[in-house]
Amino acid sequence: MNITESKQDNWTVFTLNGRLDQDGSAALKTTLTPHLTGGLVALDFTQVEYVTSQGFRVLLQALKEQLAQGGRLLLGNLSEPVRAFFDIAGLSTTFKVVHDIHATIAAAK
Amino acid sequence: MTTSTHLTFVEEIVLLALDDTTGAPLPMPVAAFGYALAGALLCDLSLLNRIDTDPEKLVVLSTETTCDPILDQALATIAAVPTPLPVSRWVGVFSENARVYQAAAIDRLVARGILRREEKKILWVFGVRRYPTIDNHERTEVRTRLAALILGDDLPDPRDAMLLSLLTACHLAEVMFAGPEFNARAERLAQLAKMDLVGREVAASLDALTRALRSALPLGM
Repeated sequence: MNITESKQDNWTVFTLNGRLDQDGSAALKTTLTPHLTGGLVALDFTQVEYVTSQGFRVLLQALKEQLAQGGRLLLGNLSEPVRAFFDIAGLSTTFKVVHDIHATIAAAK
Repeated sequence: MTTSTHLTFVEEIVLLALDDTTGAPLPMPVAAFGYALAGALLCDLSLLNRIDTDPEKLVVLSTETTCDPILDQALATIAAVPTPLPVSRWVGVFSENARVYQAAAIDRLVARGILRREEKKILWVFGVRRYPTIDNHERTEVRTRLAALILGDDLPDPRDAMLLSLLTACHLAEVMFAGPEFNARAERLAQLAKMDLVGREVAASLDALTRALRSALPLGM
């Protein structure tokens, strides 16, 4: 999993590239943890084609921690397979999932 | 034997499936307990990072020992199959050994001073074994935590999501969390129960079995 960090307005945007499996979720956890301090964090899933249970658990834990700190965690640009995984699990309502991360952030200004 | 101070999912399901006072099994649909224990076994392996799952298959990540002979044996069984199988297949396979897992879990719960064995006679003839509780701390703690989760709006941590998903799949949650306040939160419980893939597969397997049993019954029964 290759993760790049960028800024858009007050949001920290992480663009994920690769599989969110055991290795990917470990990398995501390491990258995200210092940022789960109550700010505005967004994850761009454009380049993620595959998510496993391990990956989902890291996302769930991250969202839980972020909300507990009064922050927000936005997920967006989900590919079709990943969106299907989220929909089956009813997770599209648990997470704030948007069609286009960058447009959503821009519109929220 | 596991060295962890925490209960495993298998131990938690076995403990929560017994009545606090009498030690008798709580009511559950046919085969539900076996499916729940099989799911619990897979959840234990998943939380220990030995396996991972997606909607199509279960894969082995590591065959390193878990220091738990039951889990190691299950892990070896999964690893011996050359082509990854779906979670539902493994739920079916391991449910056939549910009595073995239950017996091992009860041995541990007795050894930890949580349960005690009690032999009773029914009609002075038939021997019945019960497991009344000695120390109800574990059961009370987990039940309180899960009840707060159902009645509140917080997100579960991944472990609680897994446990709640298993308890809902085997219909134990509806026995443990009964009453008007929980009935009003049925939708919330259903949403929480969907948050773990293994629990969802246990529920789907049990639904399929229930449908098959119903269709096999003669009309009118």
